[in-house]
Amino acid sequence: MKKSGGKILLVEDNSDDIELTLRALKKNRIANRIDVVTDGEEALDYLFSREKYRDRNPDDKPVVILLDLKLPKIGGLEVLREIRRDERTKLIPVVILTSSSEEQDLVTSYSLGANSYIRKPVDFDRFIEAVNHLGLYWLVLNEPPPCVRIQP
Amino acid sequence: MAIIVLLTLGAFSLIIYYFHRERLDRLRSEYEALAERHALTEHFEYLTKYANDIIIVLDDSWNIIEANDRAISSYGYSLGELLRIDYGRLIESPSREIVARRRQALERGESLLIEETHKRKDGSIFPAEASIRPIVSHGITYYQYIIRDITERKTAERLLYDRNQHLAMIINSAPVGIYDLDLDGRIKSIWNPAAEKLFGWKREEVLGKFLPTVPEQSMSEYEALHSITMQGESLTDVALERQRKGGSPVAISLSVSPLHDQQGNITGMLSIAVDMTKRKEMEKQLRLLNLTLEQKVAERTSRLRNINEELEAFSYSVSHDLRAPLRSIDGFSQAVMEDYEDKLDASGRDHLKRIRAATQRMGLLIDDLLQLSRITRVDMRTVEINLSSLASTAARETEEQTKRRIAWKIPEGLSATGDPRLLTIVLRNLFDNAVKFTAAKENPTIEFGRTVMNGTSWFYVRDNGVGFDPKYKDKLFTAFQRLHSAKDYPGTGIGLATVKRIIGRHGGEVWADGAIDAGAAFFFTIPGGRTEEQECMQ
Repeated sequence: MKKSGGKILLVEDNSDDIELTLRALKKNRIANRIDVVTDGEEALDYLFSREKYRDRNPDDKPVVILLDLKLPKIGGLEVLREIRRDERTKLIPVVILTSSSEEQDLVTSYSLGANSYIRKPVDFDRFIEAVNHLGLYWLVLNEPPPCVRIQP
Repeated sequence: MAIIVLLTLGAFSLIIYYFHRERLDRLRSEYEALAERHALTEHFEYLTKYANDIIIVLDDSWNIIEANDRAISSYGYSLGELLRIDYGRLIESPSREIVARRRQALERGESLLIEETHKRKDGSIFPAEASIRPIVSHGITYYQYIIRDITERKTAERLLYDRNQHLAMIINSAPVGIYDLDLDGRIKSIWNPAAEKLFGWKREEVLGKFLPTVPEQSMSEYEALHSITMQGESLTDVALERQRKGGSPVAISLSVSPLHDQQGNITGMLSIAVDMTKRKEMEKQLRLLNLTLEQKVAERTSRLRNINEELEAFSYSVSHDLRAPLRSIDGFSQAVMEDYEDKLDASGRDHLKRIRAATQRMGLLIDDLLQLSRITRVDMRTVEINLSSLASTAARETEEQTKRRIAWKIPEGLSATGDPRLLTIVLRNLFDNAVKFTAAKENPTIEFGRTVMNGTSWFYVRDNGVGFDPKYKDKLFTAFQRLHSAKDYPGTGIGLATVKRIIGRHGGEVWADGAIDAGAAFFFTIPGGRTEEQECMQ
């Protein structure tokens, strides 16, 4: 798979899921750097360079955010809303990666501006397949948005 | 001599003169008597001719000496018979003693007007009003007996009496207060027992008095009511407050009508008062009951909403949390298989495979259960659906997923009114089922169609697969019931339960038909709408 230089932000609280997602990405030879945050608050701190990420360069945006919905502190949908509300982050592709197949979640995610919605299947082989498609689309085919400069 | 002769002659002449005069007088009086009798006879004949009454003349010995035609026709005796019989035979009652006493009174010169019962020759009787009076003619006393047959009057009287009795009975036994008032507003004659009970006053207490039931503050309203009625208007069911003896208030519904005499003049008014106390009490209770009912409904609704919310939360949790560990088990089993392949023997690999198979099956079960619970919760969106195209799409998807070649038979023009997404789930489940059970067939055929049984329009999905033992067909639509082993025919046993639930939400029915090795057919109705054919038949 052709490499796209940017990094991927994985927002996931379940350590098993982190492990399996990383494994699936690796299996699909996606070698992008993957930053992992484990709750919604940390995700927003990361994106907006706050708190323990205050030294992070806010212009160094992930090429795609893989976002779980059920997260501690701040839920995934709330994180998505914040991302889309802020000029600095509103163009970053967000892929919802969740166990939920509840229609309400799907509808809310898309209406809040999610770019994809992937339901993590129990069958790990199919998960690898899904991650493969994901990587192919968001990291290879998709042209990332131009960097948006923020007016101070 | 000459003088003597003259005197003699004179005396003689005088004697003759006097003799003649006396004779003449007698003749004249005889003539007069005759004339009088003639006049009487004529008068009697006149009466006889025109009288509608029986007229009998009796002499002073109480023998019938005259009787008119009416007497003959009424009693049935000939004139000759009447003149011979004792007149007492014409009278049934009163008793002979009373008749004798009356006779004495008449002989004293009195007139009588009496009611008697008279008897005909054939023994039948009739009521009579008799007027008897003595007539003295030429020193002889006759009795004029005028008898009127009063059968009709008696019948009318009896009818009137009966009617009055009935009316009195109705008034006295009526469950509503009835009373009448004269023009001044005094109680005339009616104040029935129900009125006594309703207002507390006895009839004797109120007769001739002003209506005591009108409280001071309602006087002007009563007067308005009274004057309206006295102008000839009737009023029905006027809700009023009146007072009982002792002053306690009573709610009544009053109807009043003016009373008229024969000439149509208003003589008073009749009032009917219904006790509304019980009804008011009942209305109050009903209102209270409604209120508590509404409260209960609100409580139940809120409880139901809570349960629903809990169910949503539960399903959400199942969807997320129950599947997460399964993913871990499956994913890490796979990781072990891959990363430690060289360290695992065939048995170890087999165990891991079984772990993964079981995990994935559990995943399917959770998915199907969620779907089953979701179709109960989602709001129905009912529209007119082209079932033929819906079925074609579902068939194509089924074929793509199962990667098998199936001969589909789906006719054009089938339609129904329902929720397209839910009905797609129905068709997908039935098609998946059909594909699964035709797996062993060389030329699997699945047919979707419509048929009419007992006047009802049924849709069906029919296959030429392995079928099922019809004695278990009732179990088919129950969740987790399987008629085939999971090894031969994988599945969760929830598909048909889902079908039944969706059709149930559409108000329809499901039904299965099949035999071992003879294929299966699943029928369902969607009563929400009419098929096109039914519409054409209209």
